[in-house]
Amino acid sequence: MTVSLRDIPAKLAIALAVLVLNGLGLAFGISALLDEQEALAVKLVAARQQAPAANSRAQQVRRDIDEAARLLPRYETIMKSGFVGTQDRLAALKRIEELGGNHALGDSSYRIAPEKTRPLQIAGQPRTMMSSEIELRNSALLDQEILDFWAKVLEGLPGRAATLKASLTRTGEVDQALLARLRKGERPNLVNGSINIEWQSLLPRGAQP
Amino acid sequence: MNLFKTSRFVLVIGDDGALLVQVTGKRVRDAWFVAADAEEGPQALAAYLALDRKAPVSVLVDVLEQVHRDETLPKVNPFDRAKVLKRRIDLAFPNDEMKAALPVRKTGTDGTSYLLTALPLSPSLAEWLEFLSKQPNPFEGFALLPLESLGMARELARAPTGEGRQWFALIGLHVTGGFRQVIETEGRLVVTRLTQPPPPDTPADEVAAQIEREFRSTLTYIKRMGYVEGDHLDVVVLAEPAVVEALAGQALPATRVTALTPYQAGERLGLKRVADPEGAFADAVHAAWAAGRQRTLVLKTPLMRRRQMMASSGNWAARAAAAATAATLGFTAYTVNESAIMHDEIDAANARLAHAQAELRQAEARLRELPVAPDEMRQLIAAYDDLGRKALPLPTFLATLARALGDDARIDAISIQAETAKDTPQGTRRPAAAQAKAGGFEVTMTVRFLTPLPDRQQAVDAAYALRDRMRDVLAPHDVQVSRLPVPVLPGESLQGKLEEPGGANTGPRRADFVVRGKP
Repeated sequence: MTVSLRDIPAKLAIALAVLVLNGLGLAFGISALLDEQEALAVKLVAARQQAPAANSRAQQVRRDIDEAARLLPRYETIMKSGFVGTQDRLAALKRIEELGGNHALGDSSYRIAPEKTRPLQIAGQPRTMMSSEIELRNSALLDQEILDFWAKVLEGLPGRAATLKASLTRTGEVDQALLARLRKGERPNLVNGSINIEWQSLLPRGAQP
Repeated sequence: MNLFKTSRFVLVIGDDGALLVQVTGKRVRDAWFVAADAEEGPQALAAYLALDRKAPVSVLVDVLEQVHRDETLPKVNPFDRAKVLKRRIDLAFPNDEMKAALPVRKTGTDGTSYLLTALPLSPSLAEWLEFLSKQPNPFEGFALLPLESLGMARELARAPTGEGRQWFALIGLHVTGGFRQVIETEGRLVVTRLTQPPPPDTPADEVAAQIEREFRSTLTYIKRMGYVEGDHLDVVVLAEPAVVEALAGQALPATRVTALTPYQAGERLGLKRVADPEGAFADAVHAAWAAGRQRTLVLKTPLMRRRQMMASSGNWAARAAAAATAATLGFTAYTVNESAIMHDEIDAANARLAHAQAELRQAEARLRELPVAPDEMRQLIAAYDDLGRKALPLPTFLATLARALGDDARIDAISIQAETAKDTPQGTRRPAAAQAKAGGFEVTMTVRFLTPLPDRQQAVDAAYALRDRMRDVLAPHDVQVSRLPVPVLPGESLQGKLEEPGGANTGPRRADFVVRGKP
């Protein structure tokens, strides 16, 4: 007597079939589910990362807007000063001469060096800064005359101007001879002055030096 | 079907027929007999087994062919014992399929004793095996009635445990076979005999005499098994009431004789409805007794073993499949639930993202409406201010300096220079660290003392005093004397015309100062 396939109990056959189905289910169904879950996890991480980034960017934009309101008056002042524009040495010289006419100065001379350019980035755009060195030499009876003239020049030039170096040298003394010359209506000088100014302007966007 | 107690069937198979007994607890519910020569054969009992398809069937075989043999194994390695025992069984019963061994405790022997048992698969038993294999009721195998009835005689005789060796003989008339005698001592089977039943309608005294004769024959066997005169011997006879009465007149060679009807035996054993009060056959008593006990020994054919192994495998496989299915379903449910949670979280995250992006678009639209981009404003102002940081504070400086000079000193020459405007010694670019100091400046000046200072020391002291005053008013800028009215600084040569002690220079004294302005 032998055991044939027909002798295999139905319970055993069904159980084995169920186990095989379980194996297949695990092999295909569950692995597909796990793949989907992995993809979902990637999506979730991406979605979770993007929202804070957008929030952060929005906050930055709002801060920029707030700051823009604060910066605008200063910006407009700078723009009105002629800081953005081309440099015209003849116009500058004319302006210096106008300013010097209001002061009792003698032996005045000037030198405006060729302008230099320097590239820079503003708001991600390439711009050009122009810079010219102006040297002025004057003499006067009082050092205050020279100082006032220098102050006017620094404020009156279009754009931005700053002193690089300045010097005052006394060339005489207040004595009887000087007083006598003054009484005669002469205009003697007691002080020599020299100033070097850096005059800067920012070229308008797209303008060539 | 009893809802509270499980029932089981006990099938007693003998040479003359079979008795199916349904037992619930200690109560016999019903019994059905089928004769060996019945035309329908075992199928006659199929309908009764179908009354409770889940009730297991225990089979007690009470046929003549069963064989029992005592064997003592030599001392062997415990790991080899099973192999040695199997070899002994195979040697003892080479042609039988159903054979097994029962370990027994036996005094006076060295080694382990076994009762080797075999049950030849007769055509009748094969027929029963085929029948039972097709029934839905669980069927474990064949048990042997003499082995399963061990202990019953002691119970029925109500024999106290005494000193010395005690022997028990159980004699009963079975409808399925004949007179069955079971002799036991020390809880093991010594000998069993099955003899022909008396013809029907035999007078009770003749039956009693036959019982006596058969027992005396049996006694010769057990004497060879160690029984000696003087040993305690309890004989229990189960027979019809008339025979029980007749046995009183017989002189059985025993210490004590207990004659009971099957009905009385059932009562003594606590079993109900095992027989009618007038009943003669003890099969049902054995069946009910065995129903409530574990089988002592179960014999199986190899095919039965394989089928049972497969059935057992089926049970285990079913449990494994159920567990695996539950685990798979649980894992699937968990995974699906996790996926659903993740979908929800993604939806929530996407909603937050959409909200954030809407706010960003709104803010960017407002930003685009601005006349000038904030970055442009910020960087243009920075470029403008960068130049402002280099501007020299000349007017302010001069005004402050005037306070330090007072009325006794005057500036002859002054030069102020931005740090960035200073030339480096070799005309090279200034180092980055120095560039960072942009906004600093250096002032050099020549100061003339208006007060006459004819004494050299006085002139030097006046220069240092002026330096200190300048330091006070120009702090935190650094003020140093670069040339004293008299050249006494380290490295300077002091030379000139000799004068009166203390010096008598009437000309103006001058000193040079350097102010290094910090940004």
